[in-house]
Amino acid sequence: MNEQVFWDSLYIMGNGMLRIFVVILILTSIVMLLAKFSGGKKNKTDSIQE
Amino acid sequence: MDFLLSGILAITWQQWIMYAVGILLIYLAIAKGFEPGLLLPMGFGAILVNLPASGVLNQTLFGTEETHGIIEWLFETGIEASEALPILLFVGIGAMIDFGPLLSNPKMFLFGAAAQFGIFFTITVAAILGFDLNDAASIGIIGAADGPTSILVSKLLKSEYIGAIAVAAYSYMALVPIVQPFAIKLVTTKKERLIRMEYNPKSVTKTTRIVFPIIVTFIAGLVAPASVSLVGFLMFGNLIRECGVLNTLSETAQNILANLITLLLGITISFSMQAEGFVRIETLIIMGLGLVAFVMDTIGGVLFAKLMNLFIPKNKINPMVGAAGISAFPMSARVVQKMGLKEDPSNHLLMHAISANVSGQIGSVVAGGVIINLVIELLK
Repeated sequence: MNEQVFWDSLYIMGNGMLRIFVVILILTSIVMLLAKFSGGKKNKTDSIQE
Repeated sequence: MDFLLSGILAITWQQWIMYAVGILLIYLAIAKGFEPGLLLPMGFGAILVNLPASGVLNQTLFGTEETHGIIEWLFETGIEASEALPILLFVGIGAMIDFGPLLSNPKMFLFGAAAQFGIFFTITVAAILGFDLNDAASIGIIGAADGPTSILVSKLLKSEYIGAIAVAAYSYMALVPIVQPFAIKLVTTKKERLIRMEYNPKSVTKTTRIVFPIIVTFIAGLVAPASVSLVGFLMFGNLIRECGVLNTLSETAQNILANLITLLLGITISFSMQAEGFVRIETLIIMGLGLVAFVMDTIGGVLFAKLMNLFIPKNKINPMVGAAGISAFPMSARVVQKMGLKEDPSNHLLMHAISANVSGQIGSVVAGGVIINLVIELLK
């Protein structure tokens, strides 16, 4: 095992997951804002279709 | 009969193995229905490229003159030069995706991030097993559960294992109904699997549907510039679908374009299934690591759901929904629905699972871009 590659992989894991979560959290927030300002309303429970 | 005998005698034992691999892929595609659109062309292509002095590869004739083989040309043009084939396929995939369930239930977005954990876990395991960083990252991306992303990342990182990675990615996508239930049961209790979730979606306006792909491209492009081609073309396809004024283009993208590219991509990727590069112990290790990636993706999504439940006093999330955050759409959502119904026939989890599953499509391409950026940064 190349030790440097191992430590690099841990850096990729930490940094990578963080970046993905940051993107997803920003997108989630924007979607929720869009829903609020463009008038999305709650529907009654939809019937489930497979 | 010398001409036939000389051909047979020229076949190496590694090439015989590749014929068996090709036939196995064809069998899995036809008899078992495992991703037939890709596995059948890959299987047939594996036979074509491993015939001695095969005309589908570049040949030097008369000592000096090189003739171009069609599969090698398709690989050089469609994948090596520009990654055009997987990227163009994303236009079709984007046009097929309905982000409505996700947009009406945005917290499901988070599972699209959590369920990419297996990618990074596998990169570390591959590093421990002695792979170089670019190869380890390319192997880890099998966990994206997305064939074009796997091909593109392994090509850009110049991995020598593209063939094995593509075979692993598509094979495990087809095996999701077997792999995921096992992984989910490992980390959940029966009580957790029985958690009921009601479905009360908010309606999604057309404005939201149109603005969404533009915003995703912008944000993902800023955080992971290398993902712009993947995310951008996926969202371009989706914008064509949602804008409402390009219905014929949307249908073309979903059907003709997607089918045409799928047809070519499978047989093109078989270029990397030549015996000397494919028949080695690393291929078997990569198959094993692919399984690790999918299992850890599932576990990552499920455990994240359990973590979220610690902060939600009521309306808890069924942890199985977290497993649907991988990109294997819609198989993963159906697996979760089926497992939910098995525990409680009145507990329908499908729409929640679809929301998470669709989020996984975005999460996986962002993960691909992030990995490319980070590996290039480290290898500078």
